Amino acid sequence: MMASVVVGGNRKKSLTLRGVDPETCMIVFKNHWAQVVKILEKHEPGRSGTGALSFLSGHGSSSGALRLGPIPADEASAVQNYVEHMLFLLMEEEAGQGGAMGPILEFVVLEGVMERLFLWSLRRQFTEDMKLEQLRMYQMLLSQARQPLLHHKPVLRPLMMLLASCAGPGTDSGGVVEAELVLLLNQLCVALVKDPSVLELFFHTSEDQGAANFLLFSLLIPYTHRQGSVGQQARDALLLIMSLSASDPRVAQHIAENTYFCPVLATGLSGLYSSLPARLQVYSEDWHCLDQADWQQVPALVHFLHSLDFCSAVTKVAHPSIRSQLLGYIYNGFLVPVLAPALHKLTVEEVMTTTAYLDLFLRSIPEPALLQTFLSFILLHTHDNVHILDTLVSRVNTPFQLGTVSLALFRTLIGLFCEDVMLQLVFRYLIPCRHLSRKQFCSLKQRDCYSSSAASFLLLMPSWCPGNLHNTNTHSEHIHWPKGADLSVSDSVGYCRGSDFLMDVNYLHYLWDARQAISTSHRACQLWSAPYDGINPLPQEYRSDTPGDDIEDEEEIVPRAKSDSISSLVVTPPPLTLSPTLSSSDTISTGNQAGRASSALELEWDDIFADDDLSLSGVLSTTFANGSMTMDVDRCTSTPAPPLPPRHIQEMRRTATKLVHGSYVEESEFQDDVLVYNLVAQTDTKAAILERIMAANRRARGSISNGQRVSTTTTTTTIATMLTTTGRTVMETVNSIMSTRRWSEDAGKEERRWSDDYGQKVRRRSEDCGKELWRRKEEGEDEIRRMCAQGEPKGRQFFTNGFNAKHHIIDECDDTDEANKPFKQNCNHGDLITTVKHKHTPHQQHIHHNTQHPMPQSMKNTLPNGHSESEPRDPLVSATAAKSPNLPGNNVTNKDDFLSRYHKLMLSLGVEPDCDDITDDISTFRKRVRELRQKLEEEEEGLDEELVYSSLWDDREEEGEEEVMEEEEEEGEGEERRSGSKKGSRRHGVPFTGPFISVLLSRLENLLENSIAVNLLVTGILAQLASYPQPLLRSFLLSTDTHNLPNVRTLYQVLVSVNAQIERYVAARPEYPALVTQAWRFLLAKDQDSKFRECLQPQGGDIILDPSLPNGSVRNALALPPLSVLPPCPPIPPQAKSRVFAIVLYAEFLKELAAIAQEHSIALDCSSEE
Amino acid sequence: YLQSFFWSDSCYVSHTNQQRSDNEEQGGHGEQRSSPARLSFGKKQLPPIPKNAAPITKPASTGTPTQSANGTHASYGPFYLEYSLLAEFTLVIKQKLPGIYVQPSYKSALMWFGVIFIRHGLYQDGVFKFTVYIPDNYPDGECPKLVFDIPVFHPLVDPVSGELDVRRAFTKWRRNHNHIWQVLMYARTIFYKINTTEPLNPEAAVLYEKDVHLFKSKVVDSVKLCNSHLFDQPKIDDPYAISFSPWNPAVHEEAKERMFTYKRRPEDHHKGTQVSGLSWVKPGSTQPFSKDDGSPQS
Repeated sequence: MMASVVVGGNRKKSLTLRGVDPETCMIVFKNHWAQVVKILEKHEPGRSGTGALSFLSGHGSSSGALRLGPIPADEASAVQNYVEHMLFLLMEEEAGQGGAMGPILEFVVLEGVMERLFLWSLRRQFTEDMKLEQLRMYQMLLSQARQPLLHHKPVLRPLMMLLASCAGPGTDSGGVVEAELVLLLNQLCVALVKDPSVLELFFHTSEDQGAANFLLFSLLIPYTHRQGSVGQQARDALLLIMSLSASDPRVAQHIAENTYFCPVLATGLSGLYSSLPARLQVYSEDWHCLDQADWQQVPALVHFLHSLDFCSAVTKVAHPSIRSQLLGYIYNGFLVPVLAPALHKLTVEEVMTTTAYLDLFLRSIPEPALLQTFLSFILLHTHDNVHILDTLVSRVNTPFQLGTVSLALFRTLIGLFCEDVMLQLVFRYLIPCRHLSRKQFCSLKQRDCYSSSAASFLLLMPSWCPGNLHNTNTHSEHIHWPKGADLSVSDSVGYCRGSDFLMDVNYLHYLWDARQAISTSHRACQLWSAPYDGINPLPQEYRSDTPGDDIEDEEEIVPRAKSDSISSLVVTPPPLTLSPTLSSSDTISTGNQAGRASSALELEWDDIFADDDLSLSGVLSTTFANGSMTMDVDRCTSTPAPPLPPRHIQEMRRTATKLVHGSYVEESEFQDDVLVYNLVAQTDTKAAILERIMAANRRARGSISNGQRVSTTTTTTTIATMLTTTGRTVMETVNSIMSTRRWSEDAGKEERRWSDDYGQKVRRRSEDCGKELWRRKEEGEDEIRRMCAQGEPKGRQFFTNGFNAKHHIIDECDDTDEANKPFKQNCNHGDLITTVKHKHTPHQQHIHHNTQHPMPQSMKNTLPNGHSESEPRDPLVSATAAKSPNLPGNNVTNKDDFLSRYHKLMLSLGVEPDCDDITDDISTFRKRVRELRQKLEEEEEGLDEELVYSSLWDDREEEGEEEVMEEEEEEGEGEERRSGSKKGSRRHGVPFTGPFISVLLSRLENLLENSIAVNLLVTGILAQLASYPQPLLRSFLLSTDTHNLPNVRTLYQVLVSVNAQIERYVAARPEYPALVTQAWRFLLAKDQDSKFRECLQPQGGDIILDPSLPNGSVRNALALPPLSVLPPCPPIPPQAKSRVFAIVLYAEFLKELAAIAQEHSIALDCSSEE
Repeated sequence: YLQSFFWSDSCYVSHTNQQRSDNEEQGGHGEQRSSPARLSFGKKQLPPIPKNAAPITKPASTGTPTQSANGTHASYGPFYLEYSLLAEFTLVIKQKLPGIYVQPSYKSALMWFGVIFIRHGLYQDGVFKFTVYIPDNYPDGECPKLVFDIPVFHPLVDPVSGELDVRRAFTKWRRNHNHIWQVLMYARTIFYKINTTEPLNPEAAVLYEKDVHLFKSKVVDSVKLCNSHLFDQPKIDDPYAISFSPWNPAVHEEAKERMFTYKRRPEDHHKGTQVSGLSWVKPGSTQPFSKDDGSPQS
């Protein structure tokens, strides 16, 4: 082997050419060459350059054709020997005077030595080994030659030919050639960067080969996404060329226009992404993001990150034209077609996984330009007409791990200090300052000189908290600094300190951290375009920013209101998209009508805030009758866009569309809940609401005998919100049913928490609904009648879809319902809730009946391709659901039994964090649930009233026509609700502070029920938001002003409400204060300990913390308090753990906020104030 | 540690401006001496545990823990007062009052040292050191006291104690409306606009009314007196007390150098943890990615 001989050939040479006369070397070289030529010529058909080129043009076949016959081995090895010597001489030769070629090089160039050698290697069998020889030969020459060789075409040309011939696909076995090839390419790139003048030659040489342009570069492209050192080398080499492109427009132009570099990079990302695990095995429910330890275990992820990193590096160093091309491809070739659908996959785990990936990507991208691409994807791209950002925000409120992961994603986003992100998430809702009263607006820029916010926050500390253990019977509340006269006496400043030393120290830490956070934020935000201080951007300007917005009067504030969003929710016809399995004739036949309807819908959007004129309802009901078609056609045919409606309308429409399109039942449900939030917040009217609900209920039941209209009404209203938010195709529905199922398998542990959560929401919703319902009932009945007359066959199609969606919800409701009861009792939320609960259940009962029967039909109709596995289950579930204990009386009798069993069940599932065996448990769990259901079923069987209801509904249901009618009624009810909420929203004219803040606050309000991870994330995000220096945000989050505009929900209000929850909760549990205090002390001590260790670390190095060190080691002499000094972790019952910690966290969060407020008040660098 | 929060800023401010005023008016009259304590503070840092966190002025009560709601308030009371004073100090810095420099004492945030340079008028070239005493029930108490180290000859300055009649300007101290910078501002005003009603120094008042020439010469004497005591040790022994020393290149040159090359302290302070924000919002727009270099997909 030539190369190996070359490499190992030094043994023959004494490496001491120094001192040897160059003349002699030249003579030796020439002699050798003469010998070589003799052999070459013997086997060469003719010496011509065209020969070489023809080799290249199709080296595979032509080299075979040209072979004249086998070359004797002795001749081959003779050539090898000579060449070896010659190369050595060439490498060792010094450049001539003034950079001229040395004589040997000159000879090589003149004689075309390299080219002839290349041809010779072709002449022999051009095997992999031969390629290796040649490649290594050039590697050696390049790395060791003392004079530049690449400037000379006779050297460069055969090199290029060699490279081209090595590039052939599939010739390589084991990748050895590839490795050598890439190494050589890398060397060449290094040479290029060192001496850009060579570039010229590379291009020219390439031109000789016609299409093969910038060969060097083209050869590297296939290795872009290669793993391992070969890939790394190739990427390094490519980066070298990229940096070259920044200074050489020709290279840039070539790469951008003549190569597939950018598409390859972007599609490579897509390819690598597709090989990522679609679902991550997550072992802990506290898990919320992929940290390094996580992703390093997933090779595919490591690989992807490398490529992403490469893209990032390219955007950093490459010429702007390449950069923008690459970013464009990444946007249009990866983000939009790959990541967007991945974010909308059908199972919660998949979406959760995608979200975690997105979070990881955002954290791994160091280059602003690439980050911008990702961010603009998140902020501006719409998937199914919904902005990705909105979808992500809505997911924060999902009770599953998806919610936790989404929170982590937002923590990342918030941590970027990106104005664009913050603008979309928060500021655009705050800029108009509608959430501020006049007084508040005026004091926007004032500092809170006397720490009154901090004091208010700290006053929310639960009364029995350790923080309050301070002796309060002090003589005065004032600090006792020595006064002027005393100064000589006392030399120090003192505080009054209570016994809880750690508490105080810990507060100082919060102050310090707050100071850091604020100054970090401040510095990071110096780049921003505006201070967001209520003056810049101008509140009015923002409003006139959008066309058609200027006509807004105070009435128009309404659209931004949360409750209005609710109304928008309700307005939207449930199933937006048609299932692909629907017969096309249906669609076509309704086409015209749909067109009309869609315009009616437009109207509706615009007029929804106009006076609730009844004449409008006619239009609306038409819309509804065609509901499903309408939207579909609307989207498919993309009718010429009408003049843009005002911004708020657009926004509302978007929200509604989003909700309807929401891929997840959970998502939309909880999203919806956020919007209900404000209405619910009006606790003072609760009693009244309750009254109404009860009245409505009584009436509903009473009217059943007359005809089922009213009861249907009640039913519908109860679930109307859910229904409308879950509109979806049949396929989607079924899929999500399945996914829910899968979810329930995986999330057994979460179930309890979730259902608690959910229960509350259902309660709220029902309150809400009840309220609206009552108001609009009579009107609604009229509506219904009218609609019954109008609604015809299309309605049926529509409702079939509707049923599925509904059924799904009910399915979940059912679980929730069961889960709910123990919670209610546990939580001791008081009579009100229980009553509401009871009132609520009859509604559900109706739902069950309502949907039970149509469901299987529609399944069969629309899903011939058989998702059969969901069918057997669903009737069962519905049946169970239908017979679940709905009537108050039954509830009472069954509750205890049920409760205790449920408790057992939950305990058996454990709130234990170790959940490796979750899959084992799941089957047990499911079995138990089934048993439970069966038992319940049996128990319900004898309930007369129940039976009456059932039979009633069963009878009706035999007749298809009637069924449709009923559904019409339901729609009418939706209608009714719409107008109802319209009125409501007007009343509540709510300045909307944006979904993100709402969602955060709503999660915060659930503090007691959240997992520790969620609470940490929520409080962490809020604290970081509060550290932002912009007065608009700062004042909104930190203001403890209780004179807020109606329905402005502030952080402080939520904290007050959580405080009340805690006090209530603890009041019923005398053991809690001690438990919490113990846990608190433990956590503080632990925290202090770790801080202490941190402090010592720089001195002692890492080793100091090494637990493996023997106790007697010197380093331990540094007096680290041994862990045993810490108070023991109190024995907290596992089921209480998250609540106990939540309470501790709550108190600590108050301190954190107080500290942030205090530090804001003394921040020097509030640019806005200068 | 109150001072540790802010000493650097204030120190810087006073140094710079002092330097400037010295150059302008007094021709290298003297540079504020940097106390060793100041030099040792390279950066603002809150010690993890305050030096005097342990109760020293007030023994821990032996009473049983009360569960009153304002217990929390009480325990955090010191923080509120301290931050109120810090906020006041921050406001002072922001006001950039011409010729006035203050520095809270090391020992108590309730006592501030200050110096005022008078650049025009009758009291031109006066350099008056003073001390501000803030009541410990601030901001709910009376208005702060301002006492000149040397009683300046002025109708509103007590010829014995050196106390300025602040209360006439702040009959009632109103939280949220009155701030300490206003007191300082007032202290400056009296030297430019002389008021003789209800004087603390009747002699000065009478002279100003009846014999301005004599008044003027008395003022000149007073200014001279004050300036002649400029290099005296501070009246109150405190590491952060303001003291002057004659120009000493060995001590001051380097500090001066630093002062004039100084850019932004926070930046070099936080170099290690530099976080840079992002923005693609065009100024004046409220649309994301509205800058001209636009989003890549367009």
